[in-house]
Amino acid sequence: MQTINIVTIIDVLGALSKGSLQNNIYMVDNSWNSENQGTSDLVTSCYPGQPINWIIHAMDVQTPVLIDSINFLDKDRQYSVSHGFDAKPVLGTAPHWYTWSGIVPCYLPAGEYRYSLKLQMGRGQNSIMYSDAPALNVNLL
Amino acid sequence: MKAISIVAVVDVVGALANDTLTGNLYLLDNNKSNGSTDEGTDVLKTRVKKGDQLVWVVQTLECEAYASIAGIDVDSKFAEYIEPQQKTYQGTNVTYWSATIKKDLDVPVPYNLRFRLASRASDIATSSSPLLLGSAA
Amino acid sequence: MSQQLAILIMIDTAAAIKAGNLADHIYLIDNAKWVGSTGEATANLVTAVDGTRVRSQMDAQVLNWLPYGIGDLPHSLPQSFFLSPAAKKTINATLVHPASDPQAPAGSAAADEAATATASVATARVAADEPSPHARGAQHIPRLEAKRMDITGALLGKSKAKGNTALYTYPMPLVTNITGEAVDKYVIFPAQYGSPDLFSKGLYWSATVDTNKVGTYAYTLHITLFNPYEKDGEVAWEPVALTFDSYINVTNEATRNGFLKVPQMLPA
Repeated sequence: MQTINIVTIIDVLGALSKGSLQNNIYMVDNSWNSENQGTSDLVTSCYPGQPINWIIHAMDVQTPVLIDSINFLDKDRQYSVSHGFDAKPVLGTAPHWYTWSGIVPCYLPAGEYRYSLKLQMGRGQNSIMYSDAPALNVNLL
Repeated sequence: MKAISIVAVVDVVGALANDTLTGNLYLLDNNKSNGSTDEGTDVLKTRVKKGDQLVWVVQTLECEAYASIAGIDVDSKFAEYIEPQQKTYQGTNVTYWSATIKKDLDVPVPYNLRFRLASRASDIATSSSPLLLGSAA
Repeated sequence: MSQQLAILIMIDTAAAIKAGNLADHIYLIDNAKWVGSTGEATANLVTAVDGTRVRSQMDAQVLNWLPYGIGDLPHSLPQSFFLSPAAKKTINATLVHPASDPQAPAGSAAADEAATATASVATARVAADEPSPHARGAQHIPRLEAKRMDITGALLGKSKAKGNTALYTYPMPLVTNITGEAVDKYVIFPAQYGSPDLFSKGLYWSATVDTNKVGTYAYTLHITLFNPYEKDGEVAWEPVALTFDSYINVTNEATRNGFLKVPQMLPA
């Protein structure tokens, strides 16, 4: 099955200036039927068993950004209560570099799975921000 | 009478991510040969004499980041020595701050710098003051 | 890591020329303090280069060197600011309104195209006075003079500056080469690149890093400064070539998949 790349573009200076990812995050993918391309609310269409890579770029190449983690939210989006899209930025310490490559589990029932992106921009008390806006839309094979 | 440049090098990402200029501001002047000290720190001490012309400009570490000096604050009790003013390079929208030393300094004159960084709504100011120093006694 | 690294080379030009060396009058600052660079804004900068790959081959590390004389006019000023009134007139007459070209009336799309084409020719040859073989027809772009200015950007006439070369802003320091251990051992691959503006100031040095070569390496910056002197009542600039050693520290960790840490997807 074709690998999906989910590419996130961040206006790092904009996000750090405003203390929010709102209007400073743009997500696109190369899947065939995704929705909300180019926005913070990308819904990536995929199948069980399909590989997905998450890739991140800063709009200004001299500014830093990395994906610190990706967490799938439960149905009630409980996880996002403290880490929502508009939450205040929090402290980021020494960066950890990971690739983010996964396979949609084969046992997953069809449906929409929202996830939270935890991003780090530089290092300091305002360097970590969350977006819980994007989702995977798992289709039946 | 000399022309002295003070360059404020700002790590815009660092200043925004930490909400402070401490550790993210490097002040440099071209008067170390005449006794300026603490070059490359946020507490630069610039040696000045009566009649010297001072110019403050900004350079960002990330060359596409925007930064400008929003203000240079000097306590009014030092107004007899120096009153910095904002100016614009003719025909452009690039600004600088300028001051002429009106009287030889017999006391150190501290000042604070306020910056406008990227699209941040409010200014961000130095928390430790650089100084202007008179001739070494 | 995917951030491009910028190394600002701040130089007290007059003091370095007087001392005959850069060591006491150079301050290097980079944008990698957050990943471990040390000695920011001193002569002893060690730039941290983290080669851990988080995407793919696109993660190749890039270094950019940007020289800046303390006392330079801000580099954020538009290039046209540095042109003399005569040069501006020349550009206006030859490029913006090329009335002498009957096939391209001013203001038309063709004229704009011609202006763009001629501008690139001008860029390539501002330093030379002889007509370019590539110039369109008889059109000839004369040498474009830079303004002589003080640090506020005010024009300096001959009389005002006479006997006081210190009033002039020095030409920006130039990096002319990058050599040394890191180059000899194929750790960095430096080259000079150009950007399309009217001055040689559009040239800059950049390098990619082979981040498999973990360790601390020295490299030598070759820097040319310009010393003013008076010649026949005019200010002339004598080039002064100096070198300075700086360092990079290359680290590289094994690439790890974040989903091994947060197993919410099956790690690929």
